[in-house]
Amino acid sequence: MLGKTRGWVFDRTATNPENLEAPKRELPKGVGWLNTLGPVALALIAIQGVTGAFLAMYYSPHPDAAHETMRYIDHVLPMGRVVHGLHHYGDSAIVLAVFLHLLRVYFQGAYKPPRELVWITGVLLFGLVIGFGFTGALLPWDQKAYASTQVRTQFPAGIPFLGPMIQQLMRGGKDIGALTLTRFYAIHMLLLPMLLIPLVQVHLALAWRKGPTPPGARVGEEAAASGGRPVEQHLLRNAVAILIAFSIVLGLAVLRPVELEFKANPADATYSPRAEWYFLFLFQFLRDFASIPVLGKLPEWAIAGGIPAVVMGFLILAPWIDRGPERRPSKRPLMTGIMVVGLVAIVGLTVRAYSLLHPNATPGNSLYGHFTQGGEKGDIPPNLVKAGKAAFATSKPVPCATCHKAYADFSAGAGPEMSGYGLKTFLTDVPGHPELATMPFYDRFVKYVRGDIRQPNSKMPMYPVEVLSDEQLDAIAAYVSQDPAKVQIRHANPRRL
Amino acid sequence: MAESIDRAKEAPPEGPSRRMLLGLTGLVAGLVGALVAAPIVPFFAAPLLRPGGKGTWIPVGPADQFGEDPTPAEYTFEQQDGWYAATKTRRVVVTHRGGEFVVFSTQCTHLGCGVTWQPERQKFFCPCHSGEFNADGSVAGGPPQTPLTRLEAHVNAKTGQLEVKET
Repeated sequence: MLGKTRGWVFDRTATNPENLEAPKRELPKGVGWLNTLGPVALALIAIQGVTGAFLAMYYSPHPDAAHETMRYIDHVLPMGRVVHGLHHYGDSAIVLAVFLHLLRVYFQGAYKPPRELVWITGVLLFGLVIGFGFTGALLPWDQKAYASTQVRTQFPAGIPFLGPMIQQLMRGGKDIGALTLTRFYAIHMLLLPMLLIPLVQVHLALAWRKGPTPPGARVGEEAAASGGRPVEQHLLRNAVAILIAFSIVLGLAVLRPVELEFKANPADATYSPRAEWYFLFLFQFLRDFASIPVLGKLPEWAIAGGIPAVVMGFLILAPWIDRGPERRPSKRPLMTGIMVVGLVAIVGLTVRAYSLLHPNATPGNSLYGHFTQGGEKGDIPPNLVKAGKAAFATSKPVPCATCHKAYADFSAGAGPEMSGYGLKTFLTDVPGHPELATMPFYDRFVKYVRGDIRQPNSKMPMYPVEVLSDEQLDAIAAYVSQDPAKVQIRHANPRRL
Repeated sequence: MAESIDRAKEAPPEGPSRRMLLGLTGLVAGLVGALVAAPIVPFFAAPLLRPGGKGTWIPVGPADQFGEDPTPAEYTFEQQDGWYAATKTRRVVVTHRGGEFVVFSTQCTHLGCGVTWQPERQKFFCPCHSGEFNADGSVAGGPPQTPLTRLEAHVNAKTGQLEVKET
């Protein structure tokens, strides 16, 4: 029965093994674990398509809905945070896998004839992968999404003459808004996959026809190289590598659940976005470059756009820059040297960036997280918020509300606005208090209000425990931790909540 | 017998180990598939896992406005639709006969189109496939097989409103 079905399928698809050219049973010597990076990237991309399709069943790309749907996915739907996490960490894993795959091919000189087109399609795919991350980052429509897209779409504005036009084309308008969201969504879900799928097919078909590069073989002397592992063994290695890679992504999604920040708030000027880890080197380079005497005067867009453009151009042209027949890295000192210097720079700048960054407030580590267990518990207890609002209005010696605006409840004064303080990164740079940078945000808040810490120019009175009880202070912290967007909804729609 | 000889011919000497490698590959690939499916299946099937509500009573209108003739009525209520707080409107036809309020859903029991009460013919009529129902909800003609759906209803003694149960 099974044999009959098999015969039928072979016949109708013209894939009878006897009629096909027998596949090479042995791969070139030296083809091993490093050659699994491409298949790993491919599998992770396919899984990204699956998780993305299912996320899209619940997501809505509308500024009023996007964040709410993400909250629903993360905190209401079963396994929602894991599926969101798989898609989130999947992006990082793909960037890493594709980059390592690129390095393997580069160092083995596998871009040389007859595989130039495999190489070029691969470099283009790397660009597409970055495009997915760029457009996908906006979709959760939280503060981080909004602020990072704000920065990324700000660079092109500096380009002379064309800048404002390019920026408006990217954003779908002058500012980031409803049109940006649908634009990025359409590019992320429709345009990029439409480009990615055929490009992957070409990349695979070409790689399949030309076969793997025998490591170390000179151009034109490949035929002599064989006698390696059987194809079946390599297939198994691919499967095992994919299993390991996906297990890591799944482990991250489960053990370090993705965190959704407050809804995007264009009015929030204090939020400082941080680049995705794989862009940190560029972010650090931009900072450091600006302090170089003459070159530092170059406009930012030229650096932010120029470096990726130069890198992509160099990679695409590599087969023509490096024309010799040698494939061994040691016999191609220029190409090997360029990449080693590049890698050292990337790693060094990334390490430097991390050492200079303060931990940002996240739902896990923030005032908001203190009251909601990282957003896991849903809302801050309403009673606590109510008590906090009362204490905010009546605290002694001076009520908080005298100086601080908070939500629609208290109007502006001399001090900073306290609405949505729950996810703010505050008190990172107080002279004489370096310990603050790593202290939990709740403790920072308490120490500050009590008066243990003050910026030199602060005019805020001290609130020792004699005038403000621990309970009152706790309630005030809860009150200022609420998501401003949710408070607004409650005001507009008291029936709903 | 003949089969095993054929197989022996097919496979080269080292065949079994190659077949085993392919089998192992399939096994590992299947494991990856299972790991992907594990979170996605409950995520996708979430609508099935929602427990049904107890239902709430929604006012349709003052009970005394309904008489022996079937009268169309409309009511609106809020319902959580996934992440969305939806405002929904439903149409019903109410008859007050012999001290009992009969509330029919206007959804045709054939394929779900909207039926209208036609007083001149004393029939409910569905325009999609010409389904017809009598005033008591029973099938009068056309493709429908089951009578119109009757909704649970009562009169709220405090407000005098006719209320139906929405689940």
